[in-house]
Amino acid sequence: MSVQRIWLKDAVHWTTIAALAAFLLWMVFSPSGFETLLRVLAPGEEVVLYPTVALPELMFQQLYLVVTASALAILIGMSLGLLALSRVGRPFRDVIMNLGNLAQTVPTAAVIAVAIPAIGYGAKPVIIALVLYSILPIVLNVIVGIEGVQPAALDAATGIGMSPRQRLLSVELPLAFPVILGGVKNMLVINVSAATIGAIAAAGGLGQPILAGFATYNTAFIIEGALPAAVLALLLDRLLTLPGQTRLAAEEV
Amino acid sequence: MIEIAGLTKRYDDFIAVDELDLKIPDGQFTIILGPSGSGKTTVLRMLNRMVTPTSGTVKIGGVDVSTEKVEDLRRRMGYVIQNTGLFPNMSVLRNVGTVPRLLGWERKKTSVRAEEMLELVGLDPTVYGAKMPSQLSGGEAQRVGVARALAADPPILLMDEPFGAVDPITRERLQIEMKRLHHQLKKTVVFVTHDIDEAVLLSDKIALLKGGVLQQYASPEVLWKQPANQFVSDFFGSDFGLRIMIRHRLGQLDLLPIAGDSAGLPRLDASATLKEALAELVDKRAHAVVVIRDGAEAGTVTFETLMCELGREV
Repeated sequence: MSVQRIWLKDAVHWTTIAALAAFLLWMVFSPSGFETLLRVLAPGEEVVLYPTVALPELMFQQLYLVVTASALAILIGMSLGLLALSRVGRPFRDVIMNLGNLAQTVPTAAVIAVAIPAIGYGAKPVIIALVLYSILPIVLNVIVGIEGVQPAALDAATGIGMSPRQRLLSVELPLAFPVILGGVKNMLVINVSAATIGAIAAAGGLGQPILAGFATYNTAFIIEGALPAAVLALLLDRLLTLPGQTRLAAEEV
Repeated sequence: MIEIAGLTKRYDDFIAVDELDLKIPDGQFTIILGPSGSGKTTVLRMLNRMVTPTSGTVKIGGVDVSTEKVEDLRRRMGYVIQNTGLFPNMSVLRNVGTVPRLLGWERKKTSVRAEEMLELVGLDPTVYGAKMPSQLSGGEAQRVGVARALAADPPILLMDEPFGAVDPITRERLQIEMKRLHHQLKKTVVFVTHDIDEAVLLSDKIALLKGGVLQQYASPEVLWKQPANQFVSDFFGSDFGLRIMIRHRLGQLDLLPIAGDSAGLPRLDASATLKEALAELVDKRAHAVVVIRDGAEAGTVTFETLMCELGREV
């Protein structure tokens, strides 16, 4: 690929990110402007902005749910993934992957419903549900990423005298990083949408106006919650797609 | 001195290496040769404990390698493999500096050393240092692999079919470079290959394996003239003598005085091999080749002189 093409790709990438970020900030912090847009999108409604909680606070709650759940999922997922690849954990590799699969088949809403009687309403049951749902993409990509590292690089790393820990930190994890990052990206995008369900557990977030919109047949409320959530998901997806990845792939060809 | 005694590796019912005894003096270029499945890589990997022997010992400088901390042992042995094993996430310079870094050298000393090593293997550090492995050709990558193995100045170099995956022309150039490096650095090299020409060109001694059993351990000349068994002579084939001609140079020969007019005869430098001289005789249908030393005619060689050299006692 020519230098110009790479430059163009980078330019498009960063312009997209800037545009998405600007649009998101405008929606959240310029209520009058966003109100005008909502009136255009849902012309029949009298009240278009959800009156109970303002959008900045809803966005903050949404981010709190997503970031907390994702951080926990990365921590747990990485640990389980590395455990599955360690000498001690190798026999449990398939068990761990099956558990991750199982956790992902249980619907988030069901987990929240079960968790509420046990630990009450609020952010906690939602975070638990999101974490359970998010572990699989992390574990899977850690395992696949590290198992996919070129055998020659591993052989050389061992042969020139790296300890297993040095090999993990300076060869395996860096080489698996793009794959692991892919898992993190998937998880974040899923979590942004899944966290809107948190409204049923009174955890707040962008799901709250959506829920209220359904209850009162107000399309504008639904859009007020859904549009920022969608743009947030797109923005995170773009941010975690390294422009360098396409460049590396182009060079290898 | 590497002393291998009774070295055996068994996988269930399969015996990969059977009771191998081998003494490798310091500075010797040793080739482990054999058909595929003969256990040559297994032997190499038991030297740095990448494979644990079922029984037998490896001693280096009198010390049993199994008593050492395995990482320390490996850092004292350069390791080069077929698919280079360069770390794709590190620049060339960083790759070469890996072992010094593991040994805790300071940053400045490591990068200076890495640059020296690149120069040693014929790569300009200002051009190649910052490149990533994916930007190198097969031959360049293999040179970097050798530079990395040499960076911490290990007394021993283990090489597992290092030039097996590069094209024939590059391979030949790398072999010649390798011979020069060995001459210059006097490392003890243990080199696995299945390529007879490579073995003949590089080796001081060849250990020929078949089915995990050592058939003969000797210089190519001895293997040629005194093969230990039928397998040895069959393995090297009827053109073994021809192959051995690349090991000898015209400069080593007793030259004949130039008789009469030498103008029509082919001319070769004293550094040319006997094989080149033979090719020249055949190609020009000449009876003699004029040998040039330091730009002047030093004498001639004929077919008989070449045969006389090959016939020498070993």
